[in-house]
Amino acid sequence: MKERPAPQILWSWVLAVTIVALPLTGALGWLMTLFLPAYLPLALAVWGGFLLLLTGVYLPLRRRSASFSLEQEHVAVTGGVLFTTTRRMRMDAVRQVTLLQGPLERRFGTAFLLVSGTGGHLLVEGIDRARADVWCQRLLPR
Amino acid sequence: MNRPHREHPAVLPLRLSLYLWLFLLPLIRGVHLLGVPGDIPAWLKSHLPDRLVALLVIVTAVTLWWHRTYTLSRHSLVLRRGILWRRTTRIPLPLITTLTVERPLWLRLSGGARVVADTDAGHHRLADLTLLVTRRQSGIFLPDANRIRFRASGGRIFLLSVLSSDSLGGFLLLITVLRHGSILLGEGLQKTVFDNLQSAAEAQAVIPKTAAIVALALTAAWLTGTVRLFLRHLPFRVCRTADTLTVYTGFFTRRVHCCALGAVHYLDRRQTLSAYLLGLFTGYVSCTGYGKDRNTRAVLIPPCRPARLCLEERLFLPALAHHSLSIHPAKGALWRYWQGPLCLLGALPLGAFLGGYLFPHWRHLIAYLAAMAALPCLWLLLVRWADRRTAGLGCEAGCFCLSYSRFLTLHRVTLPRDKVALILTRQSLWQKRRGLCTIKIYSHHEFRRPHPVRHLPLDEVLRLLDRIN
Repeated sequence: MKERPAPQILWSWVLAVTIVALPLTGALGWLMTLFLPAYLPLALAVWGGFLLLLTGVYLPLRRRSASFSLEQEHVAVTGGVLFTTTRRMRMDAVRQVTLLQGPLERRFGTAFLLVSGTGGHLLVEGIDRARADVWCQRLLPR
Repeated sequence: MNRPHREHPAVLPLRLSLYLWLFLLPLIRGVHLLGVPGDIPAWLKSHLPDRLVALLVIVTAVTLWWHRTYTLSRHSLVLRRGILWRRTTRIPLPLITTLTVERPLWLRLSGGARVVADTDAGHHRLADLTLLVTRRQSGIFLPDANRIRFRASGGRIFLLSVLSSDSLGGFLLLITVLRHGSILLGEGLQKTVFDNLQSAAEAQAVIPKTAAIVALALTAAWLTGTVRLFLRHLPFRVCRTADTLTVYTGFFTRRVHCCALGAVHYLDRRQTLSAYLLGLFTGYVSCTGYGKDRNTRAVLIPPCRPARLCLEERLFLPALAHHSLSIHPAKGALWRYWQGPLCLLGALPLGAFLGGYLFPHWRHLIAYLAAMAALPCLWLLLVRWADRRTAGLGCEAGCFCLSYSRFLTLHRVTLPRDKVALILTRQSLWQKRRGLCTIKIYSHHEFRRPHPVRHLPLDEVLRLLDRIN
């Protein structure tokens, strides 16, 4: 059965973009004031538009297109906004599983799951923390 | 031992080295403010931020060490690490292909050991998991102490070192020793070495001086590589149980490699041209994790004659014994084997002529270098001749047997059918006309490694593939 990233992952991504964007906005404003003060409002408007597009359009689309499934025989992860990619790995090819949680993921109760197998790896983004434990148990039952 | 354990405290200086760059800013500021030589105690007293940075580095390293724990249960190995970004990696024990326990001299003195675990997943150059544990805990990772069943003589290890010496590694080691030696003993050491090299090059009048210096440096690098390889493998012992193959090596740094027998991909008997002429084979085992370290060779059977090789491979890996080859390259294919080196040999005089024309002052050196460059081409020509004589393909008892060459080494591989990832047959325009093909068999690995056999009759190859399918 196909699963989708937890809804709160969107807020986590938006918050991450905001945290990264704040110092960048400050640096941009400072540099523009120093070298091109006349263009400061334009630069801030372009930068703000880009951030709005990123958080209002791209990130929701990214969450919408992402899905993952854990079947009897294989595990599959689908993602991508412009080009949709589906990566599939046989269950018997799985060798190790890594659970990653940053401060934002811990706050929103989500996690990343890195499934490493022979010939490659899969990254499951924004999986619910409780589901991640179930996945770990099913991927490596021994 | 189901409870979490912390790594050996000896790991702290190693972890600290990752954050040494943080010291850069206070150092630059100190040099800038005080000049060289400066009043360091005064600087330390007057600049509180610098002291805070130093404290931060140490606290970060200690906190990271405190939050890095491993748990070894009956079924799996779990590693938890990170402060802000917390990561938990779980590896089931049966899926570990190679487990290496290393004890370099400095770790032996501090009572520690390095444990490296690898699986068929992950990066093909990096180990999946590395831990620095106490000596007592390292014993838990290893299988029960076994009686050593095979011990290679020093002569065979010396032969192994001579036949597979790494000149580049030796060169880098020499440069490092020289650099650090100069720091410790003064610039005089470096000058003495270069002066001696120059005088040795001037002592002969046969070859140009520059070429003589290059030749001497290469010889020294080769000798260093040989000695280093010898010391890495000297007490070479192998022990086989029902499901593991344990290899004990190392004179200064003691290493124990435990390979799961089920995880062995193939057995490769390698020959350089000199070994081919001497009739010697060296057995290498392909098991993810063994031989991954750049300076380690995945040796299982040190150089020996074919009869002894058969005996020892039946002792360690009876399922991967070599069988006869049923398909051989077509008659008249020798020219195709020689094509590459002959083209190189043809291009060399042309290049030397052009070089001499453009740089007339260096004509003699260019001519000498071209003549020297012809030697590896001739060597390759001989390797290809040996390849033509030995190449072939066969399939018996559930295993593919292949004989081929890769650059300057001849390989004789036994690969179980269940370890084959892909079989590829390819025909060039010339091969299509003669009904020949090149077959590439890819084995399961962290990366797919091809085993190519060239210029085999296509119909025979297809018949063989039909028969085994």
